[in-house]
Amino acid sequence: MLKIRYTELFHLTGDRPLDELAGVCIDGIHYYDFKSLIFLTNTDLASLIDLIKCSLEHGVEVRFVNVNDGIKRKIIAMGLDRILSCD
Amino acid sequence: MEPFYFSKFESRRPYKPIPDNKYRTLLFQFTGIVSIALGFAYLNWRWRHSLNPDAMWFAILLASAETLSFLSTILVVINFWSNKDAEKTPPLHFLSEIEETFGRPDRPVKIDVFIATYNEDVELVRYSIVDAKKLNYPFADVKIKIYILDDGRRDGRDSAKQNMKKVAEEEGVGYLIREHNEGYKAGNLKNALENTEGDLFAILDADTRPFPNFLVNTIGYFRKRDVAWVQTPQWFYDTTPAQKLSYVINNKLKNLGAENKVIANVIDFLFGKITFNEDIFGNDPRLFYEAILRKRNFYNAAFCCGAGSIHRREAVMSLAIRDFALQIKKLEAYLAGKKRNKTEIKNERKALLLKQEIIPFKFHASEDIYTSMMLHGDTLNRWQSIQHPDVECRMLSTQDLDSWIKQHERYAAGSLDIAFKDNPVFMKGLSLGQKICYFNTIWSYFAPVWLLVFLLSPMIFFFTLSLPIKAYSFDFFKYFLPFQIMNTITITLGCWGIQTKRGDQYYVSSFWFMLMALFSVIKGEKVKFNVTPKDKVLALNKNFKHILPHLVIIALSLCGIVYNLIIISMGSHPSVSGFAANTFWCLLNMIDLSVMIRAAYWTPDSTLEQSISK
Repeated sequence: MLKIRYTELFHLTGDRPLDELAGVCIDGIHYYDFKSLIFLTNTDLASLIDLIKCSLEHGVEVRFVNVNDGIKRKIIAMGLDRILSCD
Repeated sequence: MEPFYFSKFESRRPYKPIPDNKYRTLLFQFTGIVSIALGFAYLNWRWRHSLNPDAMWFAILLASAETLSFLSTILVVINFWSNKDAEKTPPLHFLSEIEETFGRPDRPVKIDVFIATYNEDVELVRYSIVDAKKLNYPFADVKIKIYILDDGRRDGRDSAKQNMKKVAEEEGVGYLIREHNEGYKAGNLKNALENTEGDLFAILDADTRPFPNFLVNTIGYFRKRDVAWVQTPQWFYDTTPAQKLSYVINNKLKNLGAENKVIANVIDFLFGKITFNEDIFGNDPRLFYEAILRKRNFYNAAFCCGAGSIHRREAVMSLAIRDFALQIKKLEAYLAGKKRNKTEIKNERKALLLKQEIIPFKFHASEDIYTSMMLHGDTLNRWQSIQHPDVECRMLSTQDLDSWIKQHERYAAGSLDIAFKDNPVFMKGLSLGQKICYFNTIWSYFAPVWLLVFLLSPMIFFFTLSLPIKAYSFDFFKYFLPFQIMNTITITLGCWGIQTKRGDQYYVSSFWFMLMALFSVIKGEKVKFNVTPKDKVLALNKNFKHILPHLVIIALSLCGIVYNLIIISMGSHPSVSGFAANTFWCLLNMIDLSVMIRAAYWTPDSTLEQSISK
């Protein structure tokens, strides 16, 4: 299961364990790099939604970058394409 | 461990499922078709030739009730049409056996066991924990984690409450709580899923005690990647034992101070085989699990009943996420329709995102059936359900009528609420067979509508001397009897090997609380989630309100019979055959109604030796 360390949400730096996402906050938008992710389970998607909600509470937008086509397809199939912003 | 009332039933063992028999199934299908044909013939005759023009309102009322009841017969025949048990497979080991890993490293599957509790005696819950800890699994590296989901927040903060957390720690199992009770049991499960990571999870209630091979016998089903959940039959091992007639009578005499062993011996000698009060609350759910739910495997329409089920996390999470997305889309469409500017829409959308929750099990009083319906209707995944035929857990039944009625009232109101809010008949994604099976469940809760007419009809005759049909003539019996006889044969074949007497009695006897449940749902009242007490016997005076309608009907029936006998003795009764038929009907009604009255005044045996333990 994908693990997000909420307490470090706004100051993610350095190496992350493989099951955690690396991210960086620029101009009020938090970018998460999906380069090392090849697949997301539904529980992972739920974690991402929680991450978005958690960030929104702090006025921070979230975007995911380097998202592969398989994950994009899954996000669309689940109807989350307007909720999870992927590049 | 602390002994409870159920400790004396520990030696009871569950029933074995009835083996499938294709010839019996064929015979059932034949009799079912004949029964439906005869039913149509009977109703055709009833509507076209039998209505009494002198009492048309009464005639139409009864014929309508019979027609509604006949729809149940058709639905039952479709439900019981065939059996298709899933193939049993050995327990699985790795994650790759249950889902595509897409290049992720494989690992042993993780299994969680959730024991949901609210206010049950912690020592009673300990029994469930201890049995859960004894669960076998053939692969040592498959982690089985047990969690207590305590919605009662009994973590020691309130000294007035028992300490559930302490018991969990003593037994070395996980303990999860939340600071509110939103969503009741479904909310409790949501909280558990947010804090655990099992690929598969089993749901047990506080009183559900799994047998050691519960997981061994069920986990293998998940090799089929579209299996979302497996439900095992709920088996109540503490149903009331049968009592000999001599014991029942001698107990009454004892209360009067006239206990007599000689009388008891004479009664035993004469009527030794006659027994009473076995499963007086009609708790034995075998008919439901073995006949109704098991046969829904044929349509992939067996629904989850909560305790004793095992779930694929991915399935419920998939449903939760899609539902989340759908709700957001609906709200966005609503906002778009309100012609707000971009900033307003953005702000409101943000508020919606924050407000909307991911809910794996629908927040509803009947969360099990509701979630099942949604999973079955998921066109993206086409989830399968399995009703496992063997009993793998034991549970406690309600031990007093008030609790029994509250529990069944919730089932009724919950199912009816689904019918009014999200009717499966109109739900996209469900197959025709699934729609019929879900509709069958819901339709059964409309039974009080026609049952009330069946119960009142003899009385209407007794006091108005009007017949709902032209006459109880040869024509009536020519159409009525073949249908009834064939219907009885069909049901006997469909429920082969399962006792249905108590179920039939409670079907009639439940008319009142089911009617109240129907009214409350029609009025739009919120369905309450009453936690069923399993460890207490409540005061008898609480039961009286439940049986008052039964007593009134029986009393009026008896008055009606006496009144008619007087008229007959005076030689001025317009229909003696009508009196005979209605009296017979009335007596059958009274036998069925009496079971709830007996249940209301039933008390546990103090001396089990004098009853026949099964």
